[in-house]
Amino acid sequence: MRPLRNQTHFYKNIYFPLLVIYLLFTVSLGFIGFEFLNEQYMQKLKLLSNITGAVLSENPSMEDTLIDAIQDTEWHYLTDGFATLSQYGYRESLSMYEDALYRDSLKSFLFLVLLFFILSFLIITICFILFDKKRKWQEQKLLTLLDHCLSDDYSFLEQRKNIDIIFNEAFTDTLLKLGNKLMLKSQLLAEERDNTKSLVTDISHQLKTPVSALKNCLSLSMEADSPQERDALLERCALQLTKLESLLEALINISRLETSMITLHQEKTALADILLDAVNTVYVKALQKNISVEVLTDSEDQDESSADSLTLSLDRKWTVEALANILDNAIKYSPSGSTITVRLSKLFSYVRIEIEDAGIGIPKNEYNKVFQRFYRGQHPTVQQSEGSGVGLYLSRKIIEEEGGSITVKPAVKQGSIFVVQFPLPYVN
Amino acid sequence: MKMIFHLALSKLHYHKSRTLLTGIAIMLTTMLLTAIGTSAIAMLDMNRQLAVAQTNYHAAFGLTEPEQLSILSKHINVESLATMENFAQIINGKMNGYLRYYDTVKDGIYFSNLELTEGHFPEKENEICSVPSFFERVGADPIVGGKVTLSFRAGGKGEVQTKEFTISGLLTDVEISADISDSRIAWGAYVSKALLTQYEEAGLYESLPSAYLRVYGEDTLSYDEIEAKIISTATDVGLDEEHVSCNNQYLYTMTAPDTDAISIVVVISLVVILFSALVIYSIYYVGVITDIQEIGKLKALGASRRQIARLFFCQGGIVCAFAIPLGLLIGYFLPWFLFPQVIRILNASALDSTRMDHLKSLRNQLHMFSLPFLLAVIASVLITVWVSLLKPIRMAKKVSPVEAIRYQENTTDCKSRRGHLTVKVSTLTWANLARNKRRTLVTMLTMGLSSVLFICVAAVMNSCRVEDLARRNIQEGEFRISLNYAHNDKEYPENNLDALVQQNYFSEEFLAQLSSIEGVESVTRAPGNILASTDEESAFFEDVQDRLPISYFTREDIPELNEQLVSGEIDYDRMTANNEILCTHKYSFDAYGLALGDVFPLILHDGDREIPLTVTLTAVSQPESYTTLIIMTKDSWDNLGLTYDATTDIYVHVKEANYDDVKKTLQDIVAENEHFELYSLDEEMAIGRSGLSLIKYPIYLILVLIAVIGFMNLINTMITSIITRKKELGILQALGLSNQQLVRMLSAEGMVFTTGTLLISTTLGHLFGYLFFLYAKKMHFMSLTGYHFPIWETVILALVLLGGQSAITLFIRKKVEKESLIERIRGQE
Amino acid sequence: MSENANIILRTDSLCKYYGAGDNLVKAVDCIDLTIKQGEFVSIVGKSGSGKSTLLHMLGALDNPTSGTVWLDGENISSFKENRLSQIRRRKIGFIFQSYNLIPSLNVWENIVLPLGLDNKELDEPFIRDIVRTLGLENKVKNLPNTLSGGQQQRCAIARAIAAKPSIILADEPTGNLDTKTGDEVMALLKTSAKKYGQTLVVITHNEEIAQMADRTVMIADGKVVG
Repeated sequence: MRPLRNQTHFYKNIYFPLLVIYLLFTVSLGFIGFEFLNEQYMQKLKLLSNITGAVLSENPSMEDTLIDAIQDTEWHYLTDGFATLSQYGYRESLSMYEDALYRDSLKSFLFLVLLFFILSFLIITICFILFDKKRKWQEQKLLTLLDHCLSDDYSFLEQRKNIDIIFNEAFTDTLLKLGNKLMLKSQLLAEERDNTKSLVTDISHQLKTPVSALKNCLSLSMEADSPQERDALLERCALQLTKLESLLEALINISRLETSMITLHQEKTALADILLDAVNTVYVKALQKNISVEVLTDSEDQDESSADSLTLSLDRKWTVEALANILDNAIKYSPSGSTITVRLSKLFSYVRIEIEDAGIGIPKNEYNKVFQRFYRGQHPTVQQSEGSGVGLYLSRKIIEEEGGSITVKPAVKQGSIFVVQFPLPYVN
Repeated sequence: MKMIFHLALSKLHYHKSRTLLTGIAIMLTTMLLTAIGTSAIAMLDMNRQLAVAQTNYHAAFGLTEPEQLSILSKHINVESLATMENFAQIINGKMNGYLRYYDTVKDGIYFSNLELTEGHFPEKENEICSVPSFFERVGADPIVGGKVTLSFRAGGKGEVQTKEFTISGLLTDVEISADISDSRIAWGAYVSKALLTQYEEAGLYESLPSAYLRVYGEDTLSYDEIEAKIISTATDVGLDEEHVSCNNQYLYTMTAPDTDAISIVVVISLVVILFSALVIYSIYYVGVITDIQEIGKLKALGASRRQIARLFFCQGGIVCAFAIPLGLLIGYFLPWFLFPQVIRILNASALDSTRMDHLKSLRNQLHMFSLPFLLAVIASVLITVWVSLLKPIRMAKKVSPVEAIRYQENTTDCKSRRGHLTVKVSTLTWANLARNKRRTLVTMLTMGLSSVLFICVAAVMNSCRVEDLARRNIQEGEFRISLNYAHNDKEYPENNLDALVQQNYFSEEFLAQLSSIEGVESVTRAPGNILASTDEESAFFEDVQDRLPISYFTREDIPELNEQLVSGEIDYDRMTANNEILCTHKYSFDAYGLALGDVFPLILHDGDREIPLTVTLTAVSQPESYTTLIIMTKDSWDNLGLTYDATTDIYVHVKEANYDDVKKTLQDIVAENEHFELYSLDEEMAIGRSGLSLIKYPIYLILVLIAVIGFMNLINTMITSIITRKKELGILQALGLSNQQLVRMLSAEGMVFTTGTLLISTTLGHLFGYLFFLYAKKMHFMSLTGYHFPIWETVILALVLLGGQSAITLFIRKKVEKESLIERIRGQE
Repeated sequence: MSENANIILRTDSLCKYYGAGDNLVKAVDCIDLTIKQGEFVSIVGKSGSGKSTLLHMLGALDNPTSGTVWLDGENISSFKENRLSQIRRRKIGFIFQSYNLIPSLNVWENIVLPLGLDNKELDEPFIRDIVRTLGLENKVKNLPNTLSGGQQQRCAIARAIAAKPSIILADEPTGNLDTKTGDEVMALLKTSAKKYGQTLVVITHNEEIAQMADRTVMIADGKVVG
């Protein structure tokens, strides 16, 4: 970028020379015009003298008549003169251009006019271009300024001189006022933002201490050697037994399913019923962990065939089982008090059921594996909690058998989303 | 603005082929316009130079008073002045010669036949100068200082004087065609002022010269203005208009450039401009369609409508900046190199030697450069480009950022397509063409139109048969011996037809003599001519020295006459009964203000007999081959009971094998009689051929260039249609389209263009060609007779189209295949 | 041998190198792969891992630098271009990320295009069934650009299935689609492939998509890593 000062001076300085050139030219044109007229007058004088000389050398007595004719303003002899001269083509209607004597003068005069026209045109054009350039230059500078404002750079406020050169004073004043105001506002905003940040940090620090204290207390109580403690252990054994039973049941189901010993009886079933059954199955567990299960339907789709009022071709019992497994899984790894959201949406050829929990989530590299037989996640929570690694596998088997699909993906905040898709009746 | 310029540059670079094609189209347009215009300027200048080469005076005044000369010399209008007077008539047998005196009063008049090769103009009373052939003719040695004795009558009257002259100088010799009879050449020899003064003083001669003058303003005034100026000058010095004879031919050439030539140039230029505008339009149109996504992206980035428009103008401007100068250069230098050559070759036979002398150094002298014209070419090309850009720009402006980004090159608004149950390669072809209906149509139309033009002109050109041209002079047989007669030569009445018939040159014996030549099959007489005069005032007769030849027609001619009938009615019997006549030339009919029903009391000159006959004009027709303006029926003719045989032309039919021998014999026979003139078929054909090629080849050249411009469009359409579908073609190949199928598909697309073009050109072309032919025939252009279907031209057109189209397809396919299938499928564009 | 009979596609130390010397890029570096009839295999890798190059070679779109591709027991690396065109339209169905439908043909024509190119008799009920399965019944006369992305990809699936190829190769089939539509399309693809008994190879960088497959092959730097 050129220094501002020079550029402005350039613009200011160019107009003056242009004006001077133009004036000089106009004046010189006036002089030339004067010379032109003068020359014609001289020509006339010469012509008169020549005629006088010629006539008088032949006929000296003509002197009076001749002088009379020269000074006569009433043109008494005009008709007679033309009568003779017309033989030679001189007549009143003769145009200057037809006379070889005057033609050249006329040409140079026309040339001059043309020159003047071209020069005026050039100067005006140059002025226009310069004016336009200056305007654009100002615009550009203004835009740069505004850009600075937008990116919260207000350093220009301290260099009033630079701006003064570009715009006039009133404009500069208003511009600087605007800049100042904007700067103040943005400073205020930045302060507020910083306040909010520290607030969040403080609160989370406050929460952490009591949670870890609770955890420590729980592990200490388990190491005590009192009889009460043993009771508690027994109770836990009983629990393990029940678990084992349910695991066995799941295993049987899987083996049956895989060896096609059971067949799915797909018949028209309301999706709402299946969902209700599935949620009911896990209801107690959820209640125990104080987890609420929320079922949402796509709000966009309010017509009769909205997702929850759909009738699909499914085996009611097994589909309930499949969905319950997923829900069970979700409840298992979700912290108590959280919410499990079941979202229903109707797609073009499928019904999409998303089951979102706020649990521990599944790492990416295990996505494919969670649906495998007996696979249990590497996460400590999963390792500690009871489970056989069968539920999801079973769910997948059932769902795929019914022409659907199941995948898992991470939830936005925490936990995972299981996506189940069932084909709509006209697919398959 | 800078950004736009850079963007335009990079776009031009990116679409290299399109830029090249537009560039070539613009370049060709500029070149064509420049070349045509420059040739026209050169032609005008050549005419001008040839006119100047003869003489440059504006008008000759036949002075009535000697004083008028001095007034003229001082008159304000007079630029230059010279005098010429016939001092005496040379008496030397049949020789037609004069002693003249020429004097320059005011410098500037030029006569080409007054250029000295050596010596000087006569100064002493006994000096003389002339062309060498004059001295040879009067039997003297043409050397400066030589002596020559001449008999003459001063002022054309009084006694014959004989005087010995000394040759003071020799003038540039004029080559005289051998077939002009001696008595028709006016010889001139120039003598001195001293001789004139001597005779004047002796009272034997009264000097009253003719004044040859130039007035001011030749380069600024129009013909009418300059004529008015001449007349007013004449009036000033007291001369009537009838004493003034303007050098019309010279004045026309100098002041009013050939309006026919100019209008032809303008029409051709307009056609060229129209075609190139169409082509440039369609190239940019196709460009916008294929670029819509890019334009959309620009818009999405915030380009305003004006910036988009500017981007296009900028692109056009940059291309113009390169193409126009190049076109100007080529367009200017092409005629610069070729024009003199072409003129020399084509006119070699038609021009006499003096003209040839001028043509030899033509290139150095020809003034072809005209800045205003070149500026006009630049302006018209720029305007053409601008206009052709308007519509595409308007389209580009309308592009909305959103639609553009998802735009999938689809010009039809339809959402669905009826389609077919099964898909074949041809389905693909049709579907693609249907998708780009407008593009397909525009391309086909431009190509079609230029082909239509081609066929149209080819039809007329093809119908211009050399033989037809030759048959204008030799209606039948291979040779025509014509009686070279005058109508009303008062000085040499023996040359008049009525005198000649008395000689009975075409006697039965003469015909028999001809028939006896080996190889001659037959000798036939053409309808005879008889001279008719009238006592009534009639401009019609005045212009043919008061005597008009009349011929006759037979019943067999009636169909042809009826076919070309302009007005009136032809009824042979009625016409015979009422002595009715028919005018064979519509233009004379109009020009002389004749009307049907006009009655002419005629006197027919049958040798030394005069037959009075009153005839009525009852029909006007425009048949192809009639030698006289007026014809009567054969029966009326027979009723005249002519004493002398009125045959003026005989036709000789020969066997092809003996043609050359017969020609030689006939030439010898004809040479014996100065009134005979021999026309032979081969010479007439040669003349016709050169005349035809003079028109044919330049027009074909222009047509070919127009076709090339149109071809640019086809190339562009095909390139864009293939390049933009690069990906699509890749997919098709990925789906299993084999190479042969690809070739078949692309060729089929090209074939649609070609067949479409051919269809348009053959149907419309031949239709318009025929109409054009009829029009040309009506205008008697190149004596067209029958419509000849331009089969060869059509076949050549088809072959060129097919060949060109397959070449393009092949070329582009090769180019596309350089990229691997994967690159194409993945490629963004 | 019964193992072998089941194999539809096999590669033997398949390599594809670009450039030379210091600029040598090993896009595919000695890959041995076996895909069984009816299997759904996903090939997962980051962009630039060579998975697309591998797919192109599997689909006879690209020539390997070395190594062989066996399709249905034939070594397609040795075939000439014409034979490859035949192979492509008869044995392979392609599905691309950007759908790549022919814009000038309507949906139906697009679907039957590979058949048309092969001059095959049209099995109309079969195509109708596919169209119904993929929910395109009301759209057969539409031009592709009037369809949504999901519909276009479904049309592409139909096109891939229509010629009853031995194997369907899909290159990031859900790359241009939103999650829901992508899941749906994947489900459809899988269902259809299963229904018509076709082998399905899907390459993707999205492991959520890959989990639908029976088997996942991980590729990094041109090599199989898991």
